[in-house]
Order: sequence, then C-alpha cells, then structure tokens
Amino acid sequence: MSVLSSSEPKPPSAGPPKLSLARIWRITRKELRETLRDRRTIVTLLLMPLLVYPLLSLAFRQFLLTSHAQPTETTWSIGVLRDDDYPLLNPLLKRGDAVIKDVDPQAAARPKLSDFIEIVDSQDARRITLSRLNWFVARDGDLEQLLINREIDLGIRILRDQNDLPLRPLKCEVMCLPDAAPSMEALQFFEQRFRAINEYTLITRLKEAGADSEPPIDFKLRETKPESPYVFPMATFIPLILILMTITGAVYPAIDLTAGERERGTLESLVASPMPRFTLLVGKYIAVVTVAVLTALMNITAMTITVQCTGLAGTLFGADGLSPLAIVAVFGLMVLFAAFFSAVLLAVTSFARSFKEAQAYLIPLMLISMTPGFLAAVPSVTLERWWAVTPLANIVLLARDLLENGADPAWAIIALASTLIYALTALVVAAQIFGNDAILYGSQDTWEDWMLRPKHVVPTPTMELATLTLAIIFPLFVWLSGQVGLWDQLSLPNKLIANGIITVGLFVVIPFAMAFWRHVSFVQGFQLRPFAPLALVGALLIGCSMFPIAWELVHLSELLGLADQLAERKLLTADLAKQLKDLPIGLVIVCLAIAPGICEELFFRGFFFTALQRRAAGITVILLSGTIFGLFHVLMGSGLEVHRLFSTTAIGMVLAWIALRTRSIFPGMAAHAMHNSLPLMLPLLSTQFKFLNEEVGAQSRHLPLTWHAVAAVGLVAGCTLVWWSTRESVREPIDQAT
Amino acid sequence: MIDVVDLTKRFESGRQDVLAVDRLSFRVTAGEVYGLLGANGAGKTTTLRMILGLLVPTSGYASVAGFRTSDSPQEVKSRLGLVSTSAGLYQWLSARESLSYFADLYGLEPEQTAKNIEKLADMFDLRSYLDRRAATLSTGQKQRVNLARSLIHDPPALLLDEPTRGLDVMGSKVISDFIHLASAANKAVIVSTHRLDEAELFCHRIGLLNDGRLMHEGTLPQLQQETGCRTLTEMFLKSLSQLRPADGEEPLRTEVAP
Repeated sequence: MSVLSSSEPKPPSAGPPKLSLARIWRITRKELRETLRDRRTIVTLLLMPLLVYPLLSLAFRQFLLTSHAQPTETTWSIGVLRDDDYPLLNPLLKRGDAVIKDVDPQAAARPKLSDFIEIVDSQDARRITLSRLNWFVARDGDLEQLLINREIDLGIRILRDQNDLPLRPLKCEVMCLPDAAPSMEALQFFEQRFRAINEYTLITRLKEAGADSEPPIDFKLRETKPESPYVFPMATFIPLILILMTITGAVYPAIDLTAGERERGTLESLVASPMPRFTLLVGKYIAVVTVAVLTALMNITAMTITVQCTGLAGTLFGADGLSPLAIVAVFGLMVLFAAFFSAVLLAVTSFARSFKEAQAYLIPLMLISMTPGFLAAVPSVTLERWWAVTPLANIVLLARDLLENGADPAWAIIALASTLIYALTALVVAAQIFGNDAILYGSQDTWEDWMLRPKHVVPTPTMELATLTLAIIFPLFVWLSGQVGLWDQLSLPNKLIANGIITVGLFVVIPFAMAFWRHVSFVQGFQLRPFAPLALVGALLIGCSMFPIAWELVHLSELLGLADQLAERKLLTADLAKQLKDLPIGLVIVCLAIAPGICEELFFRGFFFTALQRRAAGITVILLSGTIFGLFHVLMGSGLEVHRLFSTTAIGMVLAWIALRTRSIFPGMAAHAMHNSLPLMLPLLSTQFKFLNEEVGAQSRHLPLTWHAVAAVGLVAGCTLVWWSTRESVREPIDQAT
Repeated sequence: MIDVVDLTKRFESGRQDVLAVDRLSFRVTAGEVYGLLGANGAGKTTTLRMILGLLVPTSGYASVAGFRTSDSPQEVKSRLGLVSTSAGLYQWLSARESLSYFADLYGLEPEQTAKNIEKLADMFDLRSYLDRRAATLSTGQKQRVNLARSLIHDPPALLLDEPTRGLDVMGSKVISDFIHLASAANKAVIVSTHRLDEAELFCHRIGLLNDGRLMHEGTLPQLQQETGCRTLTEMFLKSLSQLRPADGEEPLRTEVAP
C-alpha cells in the first residue's frame, strides 16, 4: 500500500485548474445530480404541477359556476309592518314592472316579478314568499332592528292616517342598509319600479291636460354585452404565474447549493480547492436555472393539459385557447426570469449559514418579488424609461407586452440587457459572499470588511465592484439619457449643461465614489499615470483619423439593415446642429466633446478597464471594454441607436488599445475628445464640411476617398507613435505601489 | 515546503480586539510531520486557515512550495490537501462521484481522476462502497472517503485540522496510519491537535502554541531538554501555567507531578 506518488516537490497535477467548458459542465453536472436526486426537488418539480393545476382548475370551475349562478337566484327579504301592507305594494310593483318592460324590456328581465306563492306563518311574523321577494311581516314594528340584524334587506313602512288607513296617494318610508349590497340592490329594484309608475302617471296626466308632455331630456340605458363570454386577460396574470413557477423551482436548489454546503460540512473543502469561487457559483447557477426552467416547463405542460382537458382554455385564454406561439413566448420569458431570479436567489442564500436562515431571508424577497407581478394589471404602467430598467418589473411588463400586442424592440432590448447585467451583478455578489470566512467561520470582522471601507489601499477595483458599478450606472444612464430631451422648460444651453452634469455624475462621481468606498487607488484604478508625450501626439492623430471610419461604419450598419430609423435620426441631428450653430462653440465643444471624452474614459478605460485587466488578457479586455462602450451608445433612453453599434464599438476598442499600451487614461481622453470635436468643428472651419450638418435624409453620403486616405495615414502614424513610445514601458510589470 | 513567517491574525470587531495568532514562524519540510499543539483557542485552526488562504493574515505570510498564500492563493490551494473532522460529504452522491467532483475542482483530467480513484480505493479499502450514496455509509466509511478526497490531487503537503476529534480508537488508528503513509510518501504534513499522546506518536517536530504564540518548538527530545519536562502533557501544563493573567484574575496554578 502506498500513497500516490509524491516524491517530487511539485507534482504534475499541481497548479491551479485550467478552466474549460467541459470542466464547468462537469461541475454543473454534479450540482444537477445532487439536486435532482433529492426527493424535495422531485416534489416541487413533478408532484406540485401535477397536483396544483387540476386542483386549481376544479376551484376555478366552482368559482365560475357560483359566479354565474348567483344573479339568477337573488332573493330579497322585504320587511313590512302589517299583513295588509304587501297587497298594497304588490300591484304597484307589478304596474311599475309593466311600465319598465314597455319602455325597456331588458331592464326588467331580471329578476322577474310574479305572484305570491305561499304565505308562511311563524310565531311573531308572517313570511310570504314571492318568487324573488320574501315579504316579512314584523309585528313588533322594529324594521330598523331587523335591517341591522340582516334579517331583512329592505324595510317599508306605509304611512297611515288617524283611522289607520293608508294615506292617499300612498306614502311610504323605505329603509335600507347602505353598507349591504343586497339591501342596495333591493332598493334599486323598488326605486326603479316606483319611479316608473310616478313618471308614467305624470306624463299621462300631462297629456290628458293637453300640456307639453315631452321631458327636457329623454335617455335610455343600454347595457353592452360582449358576444363571446368574458375572457380573463391572460397577459395580466401570466407574469404572476411566471414568478410563482420560477420561485417554486429555484428556491430549494438555491438554498441547498449554497447554505446547504455549510450545513452539511462541505463548504470548507470546497473553498479550500483552487477553483475560483465565481466558477463554482457559475456551476451552481446553471444548475439552479436548469431546475427552475424544468419546473417551469413541467408547470406549463401541466397547465396546458389541465386547461385543455377541463375545457377552460376558451374561458381563460380566449377563443383561440392557449396557442403554441403563446406557450413558446411564455417559455422564453421563463428562461429570462429564471436567469435573473436564480442569480438573485444565490446572492441571498449565499449569505445564510443554514437552511433555516436562508428561508428567513427568502420570505421577504419572495413577497417583494410578487409585487411587480401585479404591475401588469396596471394599464398606465408601460415598458419604457425607468420601468424598462427596473429589475423584475421590466420582465413582468415585457411579458405582458409580448402576450398582448408585442413589445417595443428598443425597450425590450434595454430590459433584456439590464436584466442580464443585474443577473451578472447578483452572481458576482454571490461569488463574493459564498464561502467567505464570515459564512464559513462566522468571523464578524469580515462583514465589516465587506461593507465598510477597507483599511488598506487596493491597486485596482475587483471585477465584482466594477460589475456592481456598471449595474448602478446602466439604468441611470438609460433613464437620464431619455429624460434630458423631455425637459422642455430648459433652454438648449441649459440642456447642454444638464447633459454635461449627467455625464460627470454617471461616469465620474459614481465610479470615484465606488473606488473611495472600496479604497481603490485612484492613480492605478483609473490609470491616472503620466505618459510619454509622443504617445499623446499619436493618440491625437488617432482621434483625428477615426472620424471617417466611424462615418462609414454608420452607413455600413444602414446597408445591413440595422438602422432603419437612420434617416429620422439624421434629421434630428441636423435639426440639433442648426440649433447648436447659434450657441458659443466653446460651450458646445465642452459639453458634447470634451466632457464625454474625459468622463467616459475615466470609466470605460479607467475603472472598468483595470478591473477587467485583473481577470482577462489584453485582447479580451480590448474586446469586452469596446463592446460595453459600444452598447452604452446604442441602448439610449431616447431610443435604440443600432446604427452606432459598429462605429462606437470600433472606437471603444481603439481607445482600449491606447489605454493598454500607454497604461494611462490621458492619451485616450485626448483622442476621444478630438474624435467627438471634429464633426462639431469642421463645418465651422470650412464650407466643404457643411454637409456634415445638413439634412441628408435617407440618402447616404460617403466621404471622399482622399479623406479616407488621409485618415488611414493618420491612423497608421498615430498607432505607430503610440506603439513606439510604449515599446519599452509595456513590458514592465504594472506597478503595485499605492 | 511550508514556510510560516511572522504570521499574525487579529480579529477586530467593535470593542473586541482578539489577537488570535501572534507572529508565528515555523517551517515544515517534505516528509516531515509537524504537530501544532495547543488548547482550544490557542490559534491552531486559525493558523491552518491562513496557510490555506481561507483567512487573510493581519501581517506576516505563509508560503507553500515557494508560493505565498496572499499572492498566489490558487497555486497554494492546488498544492495542499485538507483533512478536517467537521468535513462532510454530499449525501446524494456516491463516494466515486464525490471524489470525481473534487478531482475536477483541483484540475485533474478525467483519465487521471479515474486512475487516482482506483489507487485511493485500494489504499483506503473503499472498493465495496465506492458506488454507494454517502448517506448510506457508516461514520468510518465516510472518514475514509474524506481522507481519500484530501489526496485526490496528490498534493505535496497536507493540513490536518483536529483529525481525530470525536473518533473512536479504530478511527484514530486510521488517521495515524494515514499520517505515517503521507510522511513516507514525502509529503509535508501539519497536524493541529490537542491530543498530546497522538502528537508524541506521529509528529517529527512539535510546536507548542499558547494564546496565539509559539512557546516551544522542536523534536520531542529537544523539547524535553528545553522545558525540563518528560512528557508533552507536562510541557503543555507548564506552558499554560506561564500564561500572563488578565487584570484582576488569578493565574492558573498547576502542579506537575515529578
């Protein structure tokens, strides 16, 4: 017997694990295996849908039967004081009924009045039943008490003279109970008929007297009845079911795979392994999403079978029933919802040290999550602006819009993008919490370390912090970028200033506040380092040369059919350019070119960039930061600007390359500001550039070839200068000093 | 193989300020079994957790095979195996599935994993229950699976945290055999324990830890010479009696039998 060969100080197996999709799949497979073998999962996955939907359909059928049967069986108890009172009232009701029938046959159709059927004697009262009216004779005279006791629905006291004879014309006092619906219905029944007799009598007498009997206004009430039976608006309640279904499926595995690890004593072994926690969490996340989607699939199958078998499909989903397209749409939404909710669940349950604790955390979360489900029932709430980036609410509204008339693609994409960003944020937060020593060993100081400002400076932000910052900036950006245009009371210069303030707030204040909170070195975290003067010259050349390429890339997206609203956008831009012409050029350049140039660089090539550099190699950093930069210029609150996707992404990548080479934010700022300034300044410098500000309509205008040739030379020269000036420094390790 | 240099851990929480480990330094070479001895709360487990990278030291550092925990945590973790009595198993997975899972976490390829599981199954006599769900295994069987798990990636160093706590004689014997085998396979082993008899039995060198500080360190004969005590128990009690009393508190007085 021998222990595995380990005579070498560094065995071949030593070293951190190499990540591959196959390995992530194997990790996920273990989580799935563990979860799916657990009988608690089987209960939620299989038994719940199989039991719940048939039971719900039974309950629903019962409800339908009851609600339909109720109006035909309405009976009212009418209290009177004497046996001879109701013979006085009955003919009047009959006459009133006849008048109403004559005027509007439908109004008296329900309930029908008919003759006495029986008279019931009791100890102190006599009960007489009329088809739908139970006459109740109260001999003790206390009709009010009978009303309060709900023994009668209406009390009628007929006033009498000294001889105990009814007054002529008949005078009566009708007593009702305003809080009780049957009492008010009975009152309406009597009132309609008494009023009909009175009006009929008055009109008849006026006619007899030869007076103008035409009333000043003649109106008829017509109740509108739909041709098909009432259909529940599917789109309003499906989102709620979505939430419930996903919660049901995801809660148990989320708890088991996080808090459960600690409870069964496997957490320490897990975090003692070299596998990064984020990768562990990704495996768990995929497993939770899979179980949630499987549960949703089971639920939707059980629901479809149930409604088809019970014949409720028409009542619930309209004449067409539950169409295959609707099922696919609902399923797609479930996947999206599961993707988001599973990440949130993992973030919450990672906090817990036991199953019980996790359950305690989840109850409020579930209640909060239910609330947006009801938003779908509010017609005034639409998927746009703030709602499009509000977590959970945006999915609910997207679900409603997809099931109704179809969603606006711009807001749908913004909702989708923001949901994915939130899910990613929740996942990185979960990775930060999962298995840290506060959870593992209950060390109090770690929570404080996590929430409070660390004592020691860290050189660059973590990816978790950068993702969290992105999740804060993105919704605010979408919302605010759409808001400025709506502030009509602001003059154009003020709008420009507001725009500048928003840019500073989003891309400077928030990242710096986050960096301050986590004690990130401003110099290293934002790359506020000195740079070679030649690199600045090169960057400025690049900034001057990018414009023609960006211009052509916009037209390329138009050619590819990605920018069907380009003509409209151009008109808007031309209109804006006309207005800008009257403003001081300095203000325009500062607000629209320099401020975005400086501020966006601080975030995209500073804070976010250095965080990416901790996790990824140079080329990945360039691709990712460029893409995020591009998406920020497409997903605007004022609408989807797809035509800018290629150009801004390409510019983002070039700027990322400059930042990677120079390790400084400043050359990139110069290039960015220069690139932004050119379209604003060129028309002022020479008349040949005027077309940049003109209405070009749907016609694309390509730039002259000479421009492209000059730009290409400039770009090559600029890149060469940047490369040459950084050829030595780029090989040096990034300084760790704070 | 394992170097611990001025390792310090201070837990600060509100008004509480606990110095759990105080400038601890020692070295463990390949094939050596180092015993970290101390009473409950002496700082043994905190030290192991800092070596493993699960706790961040307040100052000082630990390194394994030249990699510092603070700089290269993944390199360090991939070279360490952890055995703890509190470690559990995945109830719904078989022993083989659990071992495969951990092999994946340590970056082994499937072919290597299969080979290692075969070897470990022979070594720990797991074959008869390798494909049974962990929930159906006895405590002894679970212990063996956990020991096998710590060796699945064939680490050059092992950390054993109170490995015999709560075990019966047979369980303790399995651990003792495991440590001897690991040492024979040239692995550096650190064992934290308060079981003095066991430490005498399988540790080549011993560090006596008290109140987070290393009071004495050396082989058993060296310690006997240094402390003037014959057994570890005597040394242990003596070091306890040297504890500085807290304000207003009487020092713990112990009589050591000759």
